[in-house]
Amino acid sequence: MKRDATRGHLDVLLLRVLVAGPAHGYGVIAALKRRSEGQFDLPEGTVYPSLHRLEDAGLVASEWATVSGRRRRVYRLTPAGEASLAQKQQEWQRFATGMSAVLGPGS
Amino acid sequence: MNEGLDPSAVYVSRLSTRLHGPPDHVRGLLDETQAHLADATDELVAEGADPLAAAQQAVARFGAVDVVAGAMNRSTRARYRRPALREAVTTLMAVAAAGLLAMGAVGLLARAATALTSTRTLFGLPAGARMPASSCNHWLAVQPSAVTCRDAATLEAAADLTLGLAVAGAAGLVLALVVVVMHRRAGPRTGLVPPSAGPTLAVVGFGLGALSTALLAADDAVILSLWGAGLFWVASATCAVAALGSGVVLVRSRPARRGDAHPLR
Repeated sequence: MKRDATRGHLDVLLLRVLVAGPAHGYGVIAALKRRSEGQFDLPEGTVYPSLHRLEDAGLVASEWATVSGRRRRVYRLTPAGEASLAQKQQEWQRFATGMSAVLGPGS
Repeated sequence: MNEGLDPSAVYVSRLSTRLHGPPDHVRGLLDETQAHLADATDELVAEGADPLAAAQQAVARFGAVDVVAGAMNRSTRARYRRPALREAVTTLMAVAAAGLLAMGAVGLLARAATALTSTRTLFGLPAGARMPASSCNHWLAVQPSAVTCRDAATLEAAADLTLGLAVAGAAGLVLALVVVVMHRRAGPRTGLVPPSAGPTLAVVGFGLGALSTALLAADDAVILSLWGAGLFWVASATCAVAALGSGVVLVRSRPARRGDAHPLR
């Protein structure tokens, strides 16, 4: 998938990954790649500003922890993040349904 | 890439020179980058890659330094824009309060000096001052105790200037209180407005004030036909003391530890 297309939906993708539980930045990015089967190809370093932006919006919270001997910032979904994700998922479903109806084989 | 050096360490070092923002925030970004590159390298090594090649690949996947730094700096600006602006405004208000308080102090000192010397010494007109007849009539009317036009003008100048300086001092007190309240309500400093900014501005402002008023006093200049040389000397001395005090605050506001200068240290 093209980078611009991925970037436009990065926030919802990151929120969705964090539904599985708290994770540090590398874990979030690795999960994103794994779940998308490599479709989402972004410079990994540019994902951190998106996580920080979500944190500023109150959708994600973070705290520093030492994991496997390394100092890491661990991110978790907030209740506001869960609500935002649910709303964005609904919007996406409606959009996807509309697109499929227009582009699908029967149209 | 520098041969013989850890690619991850080189990358983090290059990134550190391009990131802007509060030192603690920048340190956090660099720590996250370092941990990410180490995790990515470990994973690639576990998959069988050579350690050096793994580190190089981890760096490549993280993204070009300029691209990543640009994205991180945009995020930092968005996060700290408002608090940094508030800090800048508070700093300017504090400097303005100091200036107004200094004016109030000039008024008090001028009154004290008047008691020790004379009103003419402090507020007397410069020798070259011209006094239009219409002004003389006004001054003599509002200062009935004066015999000559020059005495009437001097008394009027003393009254007007003392009142003006007292009002400035009172405004300075109010502004200083507002600054204290704003300072207490503010969160942790962003570091984007250095603590030395206010004292530096004050040193420059008071220093220029001391110099210019000393020159005016020495030249016995005519300013608005009313100001006396004695008042200029008092103003110059007050500004000089304020500049000195601001200088002491400036020296004390500098970071004591060398490590504060660089987020990586």
